Amino acid sequence: MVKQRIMVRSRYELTVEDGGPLGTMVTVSLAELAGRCGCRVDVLRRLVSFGLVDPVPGYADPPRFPDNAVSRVARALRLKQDLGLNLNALALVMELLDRIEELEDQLRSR
Amino acid sequence: MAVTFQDYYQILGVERTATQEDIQRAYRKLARKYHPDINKDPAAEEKFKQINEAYEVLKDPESRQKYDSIGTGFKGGEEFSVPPGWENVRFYHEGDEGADYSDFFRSIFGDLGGFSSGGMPGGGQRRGRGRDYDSHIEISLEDACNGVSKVIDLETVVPGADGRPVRSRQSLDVKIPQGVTEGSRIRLRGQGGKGVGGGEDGDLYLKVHLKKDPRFQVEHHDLLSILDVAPWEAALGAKVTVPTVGGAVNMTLPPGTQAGQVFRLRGKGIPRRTGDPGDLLITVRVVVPPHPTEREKQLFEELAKESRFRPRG
Repeated sequence: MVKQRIMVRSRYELTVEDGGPLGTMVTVSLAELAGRCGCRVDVLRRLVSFGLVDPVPGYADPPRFPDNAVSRVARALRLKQDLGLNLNALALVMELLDRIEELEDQLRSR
Repeated sequence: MAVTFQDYYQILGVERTATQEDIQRAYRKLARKYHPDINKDPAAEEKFKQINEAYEVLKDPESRQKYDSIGTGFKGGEEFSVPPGWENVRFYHEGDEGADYSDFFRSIFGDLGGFSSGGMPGGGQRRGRGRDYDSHIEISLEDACNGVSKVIDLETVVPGADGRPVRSRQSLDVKIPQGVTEGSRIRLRGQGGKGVGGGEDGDLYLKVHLKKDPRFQVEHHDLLSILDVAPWEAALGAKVTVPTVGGAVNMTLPPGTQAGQVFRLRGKGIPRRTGDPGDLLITVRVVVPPHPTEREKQLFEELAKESRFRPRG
């Protein structure tokens, strides 16, 4: 145990996401989100219009996004680019992946 | 540094005589299968890079021909050195920078790095944010209520010295705050894949699973349990002890408690990080003695005779 601890890394920012309304939520603007994902703002607007990432309810104009949207957008962009998907196909793939994750969680909690 | 020969045909699972269409088809299939955002196997990411590298070379008849002329006689994994006469030959390709290619690739194609990706995307990672890693962590109900510090071992696949993927272990000290519950996601910022070309590093997500506890069912931050009571306890009321995560507590059953009635012990569920803690919901179940004694039977019979209670109207 002691030996293991020497190699342990413990300096990172830790956040917990419950998805509940009571959790403190960090939000980012459209431009900020695009910057952090390395994509152009107009590309991101298209992703939003296809419902691939949703603004925080009550923050539609100007839209603000949950901090964890960064992961989702980055993932969507990689899939789009690497597999040559159009936005319709991408939206479908993301929905199916979400569904798989949900079902895997249900299996685990049995 | 020793460079090993990469058999790009083998990586794509095609014959050396394969047509360009065969190569493209094989690539598309493998790219879908091993895309690390779809395939959760830690080895998928490295495999995906290899597939892309192979395709970058083989998709273009010119670079394929050059690869063929260099590569004749080598087998995948063999030590490779650039044949005489080729040392200063560099194939120039325009395209992205900073793509993640093997040493073998660089020994032939140089550090100019990427290829243009043309119409069909490919070419592994480009400039951008590092990949997020997903993992799971299992904690007890007590740990969810009190918070806990856990060391987790994480296995990732990284390119080894010879360019072949090796599994690498690292340990992380994770301080789980109180108030997480089944399905909560803990994000460790910057502990995912490295960003490319100045992009930010990805994050590590740990999905929390609670160990099964025979006493409680978990519903978000509420806990559900069942309390077995005797008929006379239900009828007359009783003082009972009930288990909670923090230890047994006393509870008073009012006279006339019905089976299925739910008692809510406020704040005895899992704490929330903000707001009120969850509750413990106790459902009453009336149970009768499975093997009543003669005396018990007698008393029940007496009650049956005396009572004017008609449960079905």
